[in-house]
Amino acid sequence: MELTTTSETQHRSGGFLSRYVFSRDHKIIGIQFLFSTLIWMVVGGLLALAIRWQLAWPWSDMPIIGPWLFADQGGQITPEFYTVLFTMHGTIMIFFVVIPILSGAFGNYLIPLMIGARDMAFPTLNMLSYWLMWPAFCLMILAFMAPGNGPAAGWTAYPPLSVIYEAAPGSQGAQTLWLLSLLFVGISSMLGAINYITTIFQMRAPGMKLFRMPMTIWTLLVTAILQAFSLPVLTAALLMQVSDRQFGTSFFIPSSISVNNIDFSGASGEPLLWQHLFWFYSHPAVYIMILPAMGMVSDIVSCFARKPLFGYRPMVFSVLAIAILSFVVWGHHMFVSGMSPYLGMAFMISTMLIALPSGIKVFNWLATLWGGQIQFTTAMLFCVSFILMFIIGGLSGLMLASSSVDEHLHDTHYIVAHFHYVLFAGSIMAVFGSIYFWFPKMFGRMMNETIGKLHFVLTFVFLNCTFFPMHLLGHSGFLRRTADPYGEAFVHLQPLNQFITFSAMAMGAVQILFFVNFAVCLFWGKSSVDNPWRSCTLEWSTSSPPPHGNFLNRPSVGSGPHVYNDPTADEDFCPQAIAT
Amino acid sequence: MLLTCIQPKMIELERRNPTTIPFHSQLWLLSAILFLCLGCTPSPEFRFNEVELQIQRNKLLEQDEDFPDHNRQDIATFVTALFGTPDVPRFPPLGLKGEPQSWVSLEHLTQSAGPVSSDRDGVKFGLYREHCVQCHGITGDGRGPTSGFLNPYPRDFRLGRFKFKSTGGRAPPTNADLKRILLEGIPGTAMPSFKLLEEEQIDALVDYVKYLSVRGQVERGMINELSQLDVGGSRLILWPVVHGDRTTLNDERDDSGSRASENGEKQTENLDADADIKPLDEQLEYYMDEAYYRYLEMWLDAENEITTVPSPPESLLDDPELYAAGKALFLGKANCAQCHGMTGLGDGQTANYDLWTTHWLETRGVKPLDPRTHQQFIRAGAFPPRSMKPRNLRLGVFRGGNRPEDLYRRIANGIDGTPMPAVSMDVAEVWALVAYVMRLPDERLTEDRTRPMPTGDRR
Amino acid sequence: MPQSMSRHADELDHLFKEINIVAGITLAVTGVVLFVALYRSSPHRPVKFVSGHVGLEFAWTLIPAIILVALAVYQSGTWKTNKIDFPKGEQPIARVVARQFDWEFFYAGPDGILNTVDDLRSVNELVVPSSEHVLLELHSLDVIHSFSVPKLRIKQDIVPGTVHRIWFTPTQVGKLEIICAELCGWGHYNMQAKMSIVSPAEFDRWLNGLANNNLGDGNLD
Repeated sequence: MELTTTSETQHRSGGFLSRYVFSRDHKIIGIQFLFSTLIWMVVGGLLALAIRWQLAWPWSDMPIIGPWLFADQGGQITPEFYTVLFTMHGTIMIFFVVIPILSGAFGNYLIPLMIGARDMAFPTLNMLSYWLMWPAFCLMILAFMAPGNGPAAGWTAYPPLSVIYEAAPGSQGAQTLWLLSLLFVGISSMLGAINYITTIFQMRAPGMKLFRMPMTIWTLLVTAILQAFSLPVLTAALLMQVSDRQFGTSFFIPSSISVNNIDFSGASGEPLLWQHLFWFYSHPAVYIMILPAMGMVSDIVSCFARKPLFGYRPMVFSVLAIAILSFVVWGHHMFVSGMSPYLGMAFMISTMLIALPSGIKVFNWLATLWGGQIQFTTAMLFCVSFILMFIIGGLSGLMLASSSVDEHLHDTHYIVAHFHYVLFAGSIMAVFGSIYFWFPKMFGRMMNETIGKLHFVLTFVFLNCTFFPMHLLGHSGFLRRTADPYGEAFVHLQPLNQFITFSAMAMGAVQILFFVNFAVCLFWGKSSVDNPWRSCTLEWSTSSPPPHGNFLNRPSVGSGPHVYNDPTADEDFCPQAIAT
Repeated sequence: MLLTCIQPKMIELERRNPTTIPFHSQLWLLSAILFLCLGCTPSPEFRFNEVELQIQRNKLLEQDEDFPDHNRQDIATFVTALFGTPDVPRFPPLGLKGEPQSWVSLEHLTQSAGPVSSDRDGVKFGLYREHCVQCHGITGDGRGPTSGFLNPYPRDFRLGRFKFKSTGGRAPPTNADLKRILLEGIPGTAMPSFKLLEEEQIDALVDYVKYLSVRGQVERGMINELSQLDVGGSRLILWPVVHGDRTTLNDERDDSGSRASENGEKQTENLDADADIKPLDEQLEYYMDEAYYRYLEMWLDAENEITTVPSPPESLLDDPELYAAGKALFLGKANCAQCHGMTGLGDGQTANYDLWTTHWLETRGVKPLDPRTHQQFIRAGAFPPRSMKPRNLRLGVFRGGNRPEDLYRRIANGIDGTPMPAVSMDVAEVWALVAYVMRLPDERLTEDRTRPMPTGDRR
Repeated sequence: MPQSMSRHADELDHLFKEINIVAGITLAVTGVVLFVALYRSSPHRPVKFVSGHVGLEFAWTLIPAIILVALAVYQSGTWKTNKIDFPKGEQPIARVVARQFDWEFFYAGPDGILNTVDDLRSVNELVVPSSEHVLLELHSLDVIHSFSVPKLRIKQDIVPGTVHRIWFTPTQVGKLEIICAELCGWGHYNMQAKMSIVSPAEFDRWLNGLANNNLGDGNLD
């Protein structure tokens, strides 16, 4: 086709830089996102281990880097550095790992391939959305190295702690750098979101009706819509914080407070405003961080169960319901914040309701698995464990949704367990599954299944050893974000914390398997055929890896995304692309 | 005789079964990590008082002299010999002068010092590093990692001067004073209350604060002393004493004496070899006297320096006459308004610095408002100077305590190390001031009073 | 869960248990279904080509919906008694003032009125009588803190510039711990205080002691 030829020519004409670094090809951009986020995942994971170290043996000398970082004190983590640790861990994992790996890496890579387009609607904008992550990366690293340790107000950055220099003295300029970094992430995501929405609506291959799109595309579309609507609020709020910090405004500083002997008598802001604005973005963000994972899991589960996805349309509607409801539940993060108790009641009910569509999805997955010819590939194992972990994470969410019970569990390790079950045991497990699944498509080579399965089993065991006991901790009222939680009330919990730390270390060590597998197979893996998993969706009907422009001949679509074991067909799967 | 006292009698108390970390299970992973880092965990050291050294250097420079580096090392080694390290604290026994008497308990010091840990009975060690070091620093110099961001800066113990105490003048605080500060905190500053600690732990920390103070005073005193002595003998002699092998010195004192001078000559060949070399014993005794007992006596004497507070008048807070008298004194004779302002808002004269700043800020050539002249001291570890803000009395929160007797002491004794002077007034007048100051938050700023001023029948 | 020392805590524990049972049953059922589905699958069994079932979809939409709404309504009673129905016309026992990084508690002084100059101040130690209602007034001087007492299952953020109130009914006397539950700076971990619930008589005795300590007993030194 003519279009394809043009892009191919464009591509070949450029040098190395424009081909592989400043590329406008969505596949290169997707892979760039993937590599960057994997690197940040290592950083975030190491920070988590440092946090666990402090929780298991508070004030003991930190191994290896302790004496170097904190020589003045004999190598213990200082409390202000501890606050920096969990702030950075949260920020990096959420904004630099989970969100960009799902919508950045997989969104970019899969959307055009799965809908049969030759590229994104706005390739240059797409490139920009990746390269805008770099200022964010640099600013975040700078924030870490800025005088006085780094941003220390938690990833939620509640004012006045985050906007008054004197309140979190260690953060100094770092907090501002942190805010600016998030601004860039936000802009990058917004550009990506616009691109995705346009691409999905405008550039589908002939015959690719909306209800023939794979679940991955549906969830990425909804994610993009969520981002497009909620990010402006966060962006505005971030700018307000920057202005409070740097230009002397007081959006979030209440009147007549005195911090560190500095009076703020002229201020007249409202700290709760930030919480409302922040959670108005960050609750949809929770779904931004899980929906694409759900979509990818749906497609993978259906493929390896060799069965059509059970209840495709209800699944789509439940995703849409989640999208709508996610805008009216932000207040459940603020049950104890001192907002009106009547509001708390309303948010409690809407929160209970949003559990419903998630429940529907779980039931449909189970029904899909039921009676299938399940192939236990590594990708499948990760996806099945995603379902189980998501059930646990969802049910602990039920406890937190109840405003009364939340009063006890709020800000304890119970919530830590909850969101790690959803984000780590959920999203990241799905991401691992998806990497094992789409690796052949991306690089034309297979990952090693044996190491993959070992990686799965060990990760699964250790992640449960790490995160499940946190429910028990939280249940006892054990708080999060405390550098030394062992007051009289909690001293008996130290052995349990040490157990968690051992598990976390082991879990961290296990990930070496994955990275080795990934790196080695990138160059020396077994060559892959075009469609190793015998999957229906469109991306598998082109070569692995796909050429620039994706399809030599633009495909037409004649069937849904999950036609497996159709008794009328010859093979056990029926590709979406009509053979020409 | 003195040497024998210092060395063998300096008991290094072994910890009671210290377990650095209560490992319940020896997982291979952790052992591997520990093994990796065994070699690279240095034990922390006390930081040398570079600011004081810089002050003395500046003074010497005016006479075209320099403070030799080996002197700096001598002092460091000498102080370490006397007081040990942050991990193994010790102090010379008092038995040399007068009756043996304990000014701090070694057991307390051991409990406070070292890395954070607990033994099998659950006794906690490393209290100072768990609770204090963030702000006050491992040396007690008020330069912990957080210190630079606090306002006011954390206290530097090394000057041995404290603000809120029951003793008058420059006398050190009593144990009870320090304990009260630890228990109640200092409202209006970053000093929190440590009421949750066990009493035994508080006592241990009180002793450790005293220990760090005296250690700092000795160090500072020696820097002073050595920079004022004539070039020559004394300096030379200290060198071999603290660097030589002391075990040998004990046994063959005569030999060591001669070897001392040999070493000394080696070190400073350009100096006069005929310097007046005093016998070693005398030398050391001299420094012990100058640098240790002098300060110790003050601490031991603190209990006798307590200012007694006479009984306050009846209805201290509800007597309008007393209140009026206090107000007149505040605005007039006592001259409070000059700094605290006519309305007690603390908005009077503010261009003053506290002792912990002035001790270097007032050296020659340093101008308070010219940061360029501060550089040498900032580099040496001093904080950028911050002028003292007189207390806003209308907050109703007083750093030294809200009790009438606390306020009485603040007014009668002044606040050591700050521009707040001791007033010379009789008891009744002081009480009148106390009555006025305590009622200040109630007084309207404008004359238009909608609320009645305190009268006898308030309740 | 830690020991429960107030009526509210008892209620909450029940609620927790009940939701836990609902969650536990759901987990067990879905877990078993998942396990069985995985266990009985084999590459040789013929696959039934289905893409959905309207009845099933309705069933697993409506039943959870009913359960969820029922839970929401059921638990809101506790929320209401605790957060909305404050005991009327009672003066708070103490004013809690949070600052970086201390808890200060102020009791009414000799004049019997809270928030006057002769208030009695106690740092990091709160004592309340085991009366029918214990009301506390919460203030913050600098940043957001959170007044959290695990044994009472109470947690209330204290937003500076706003006065918050909490209340509870103690069911027994004893010692408790107050912790700050909202990140408030580097010393957040250190913001802990002692609390005790004592009999009214003992409370009066303690308050007298505090008054003597705060106002001076006249026999100094």
